[in-house]
Amino acid sequence: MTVVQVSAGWVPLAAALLLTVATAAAALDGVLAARAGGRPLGEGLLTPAAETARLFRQRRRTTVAADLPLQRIGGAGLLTAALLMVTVVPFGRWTVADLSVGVVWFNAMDVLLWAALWLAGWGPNSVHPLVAGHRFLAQALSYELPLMFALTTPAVAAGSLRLGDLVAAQSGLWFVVWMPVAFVVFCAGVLAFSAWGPFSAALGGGATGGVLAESAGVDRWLVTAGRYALLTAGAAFGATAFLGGGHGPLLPAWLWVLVKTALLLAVLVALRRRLPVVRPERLTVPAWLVVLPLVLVQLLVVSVVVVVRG
Amino acid sequence: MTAHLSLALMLAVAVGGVLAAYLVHRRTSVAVRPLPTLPFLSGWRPAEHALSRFEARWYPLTLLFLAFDVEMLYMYPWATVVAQIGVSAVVEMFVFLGVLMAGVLWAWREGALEWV
Amino acid sequence: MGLIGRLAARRTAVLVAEVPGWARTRCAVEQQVRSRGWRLADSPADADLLVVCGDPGPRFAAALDLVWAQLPGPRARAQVLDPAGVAAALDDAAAQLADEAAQRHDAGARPDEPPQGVPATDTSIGADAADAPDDDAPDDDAPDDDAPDDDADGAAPPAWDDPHPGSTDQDETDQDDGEAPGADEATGDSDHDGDTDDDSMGDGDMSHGDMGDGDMGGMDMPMPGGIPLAGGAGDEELPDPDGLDLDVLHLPLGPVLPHWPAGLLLHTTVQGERIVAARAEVLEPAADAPAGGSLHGTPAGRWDAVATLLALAGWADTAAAAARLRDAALTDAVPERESERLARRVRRSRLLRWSLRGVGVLPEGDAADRLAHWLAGTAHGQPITLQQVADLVTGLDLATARLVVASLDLDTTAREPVPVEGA
Repeated sequence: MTVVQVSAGWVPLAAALLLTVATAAAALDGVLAARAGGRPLGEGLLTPAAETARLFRQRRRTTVAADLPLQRIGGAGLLTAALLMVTVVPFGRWTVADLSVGVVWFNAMDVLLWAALWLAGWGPNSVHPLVAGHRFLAQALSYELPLMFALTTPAVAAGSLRLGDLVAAQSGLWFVVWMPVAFVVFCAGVLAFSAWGPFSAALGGGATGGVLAESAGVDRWLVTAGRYALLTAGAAFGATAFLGGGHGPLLPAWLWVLVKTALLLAVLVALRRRLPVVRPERLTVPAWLVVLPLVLVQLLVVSVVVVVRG
Repeated sequence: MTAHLSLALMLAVAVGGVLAAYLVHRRTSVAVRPLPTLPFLSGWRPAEHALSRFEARWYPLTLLFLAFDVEMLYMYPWATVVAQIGVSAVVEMFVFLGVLMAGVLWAWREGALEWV
Repeated sequence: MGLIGRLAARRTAVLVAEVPGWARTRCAVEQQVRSRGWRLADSPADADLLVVCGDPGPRFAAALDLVWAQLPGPRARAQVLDPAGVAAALDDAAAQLADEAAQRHDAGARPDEPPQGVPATDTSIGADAADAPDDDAPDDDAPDDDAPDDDADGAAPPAWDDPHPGSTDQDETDQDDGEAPGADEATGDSDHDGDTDDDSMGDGDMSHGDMGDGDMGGMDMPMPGGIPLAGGAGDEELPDPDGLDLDVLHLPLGPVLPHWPAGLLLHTTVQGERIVAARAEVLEPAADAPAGGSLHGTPAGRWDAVATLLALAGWADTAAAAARLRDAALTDAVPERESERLARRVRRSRLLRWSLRGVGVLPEGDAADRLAHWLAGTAHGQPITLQQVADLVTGLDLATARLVVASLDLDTTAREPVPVEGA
């Protein structure tokens, strides 16, 4: 399958698609929360709409001597990074940005989140968000390297950093089959840069709301929506780089991308229900001494296979 | 070229979307002007501003991270040529990574990975 | 009320504050919140509704008034004493939230200058009968505006500086040794009047260039928003293992803090995210308040402790399940099958065990051990003093400290020593 570049005019549609799937993810999270709380599931389905209405009715807050520009940049950064990430991901046979360094672009956007979440924590001039923003950086020091090497692995196998080439290289065998460690590490990385589930220490994770402790109204909405958008963009990238993208029987390629993204996204969203939060200081040692060597071995195995195959 | 145009357009969509959200919020919220407030400190007045010289105790870890991060500069171009160059590319890169991992082990022994 | 208001009402976020002795009321509020499909808020910024369970003493009431002023709005406030009155109080608060005109009026009537509140160290509030919390009108900001700035600042020495504060309800916290790690912190700038230099508020421009020595000159410091800049530990004789003269911040934890023991006020001094000094006290209920009941030692109390610890560990699902078991235990017996299933699920989580291992180590065991005992129903009381609590959290990062405090399951209704459950 060859992926073709389509007109840039499709960009708004791509953005709308991302937000739609992200809304579905938020609805799924609401349903799972309703199930855990013993509430009717239909009520959970309305969660994204209800929360959006609540936050759009709510007044915004500014704390005394807040660093407002930085706070705004941080708050808007999550959604922006997610939109820019998903731009390079092919939707079946089409892509709006057939970037020759698509993998690097995705990586660069996820690194932007270091700044975004830290700025969102720094901005309000309040201890709880400030500490939480620094906690996110501490967590990032643990997840970013394994994530980077996990991103490199499919690129080595395809001999290209273009996402279209990654998809083409999976026409026989999906990458997830022979690089499962890289796939799992990548998924953990998506959870971590979205500050979701076990890696949500910076966004509350049960205590004081973390980076969001002082945000209300649309400021809060942007970060909340941005997290779902990030999970969605990460799932779309994972479906493309590891799960074969548009490859699959019967269905059209674009539908396969959508189905795989939705399934991966559902798993990522549901993981939050299964796992407690890992505190960043406990994450450091296993991330550097277990996960990093593991993903390097994975990269070595893939490199050797690529060289032997010629 | 179209790819870059698309990316620029997406950035514009994102910024425009954020601005639109703020505009909509102005119409729907109970008050346009943000509420001026003290930071939340469990109900007490802060003794000082929170923005300060923050002690990031994981600072040594950032240096370790930087060593690997600079390595990533070589990693991406390398990834595209492994198949062409073959065995020597793999050997050279993994010897380099091995050296860096030895640095991680050293830093671990020095206690740089435990920072609370 | 329009569509937005109706939709928003489905996700009403409730900030609950519990006065020592009103645990049953707080449980009833949480149960009602869950059964309405609402949720508990993490902070005032997140909250639509402030619910006070019990009759707070003057210092607690002052903290509540400042928190109330920090709710963004639409907002409503309720005070509940009796568990039986919870449903009606929440109905009433929901009606206030839905009243668009009143909410817009409230938003417009709020002051341009944020209410200043009182410092956590100010123990003089009890002396001059402070305002009782006002639970009906959302547009009543009066208690915020006349917070006793003038007679509190400068006149009375901050309690932090005084190892033996005269106020009677403090004595028990300092019974054994006045030289607590936090007892001799010189808050060198605490004599500033909070209302000076307001003109520089909001500029966010704070230079730290020349603050290296931590010996602040006092009045010549810039004070954006009437608040001094952070300074170094200076001569506070705090442990500074790396020999860096970095800023310290004074962070009071409690009484208005989710998943926190009722009425506990932990004065902490933090450097980065690490607590370098701490002192604990308990804010009492109002003097004429009826003696409150405690859940401690009952099955409901155990499940409440489990729910709190799991919530802080960031595991919302099991925390919700534990809270449901607690509510069941309050009305009749705990359902055997559900409690077994939850206990199995929590015990099986290696991630949780790993996360709690070595946290809050007492001679009897750590947080993971205490959780295991709660789940097995085999816990029994061990006395712990507030001083020990402060010592336990000193040297920890904030998140771990909160786990430690939750794992102690302090009974703040009891006089010293506070029993802690453990093996």
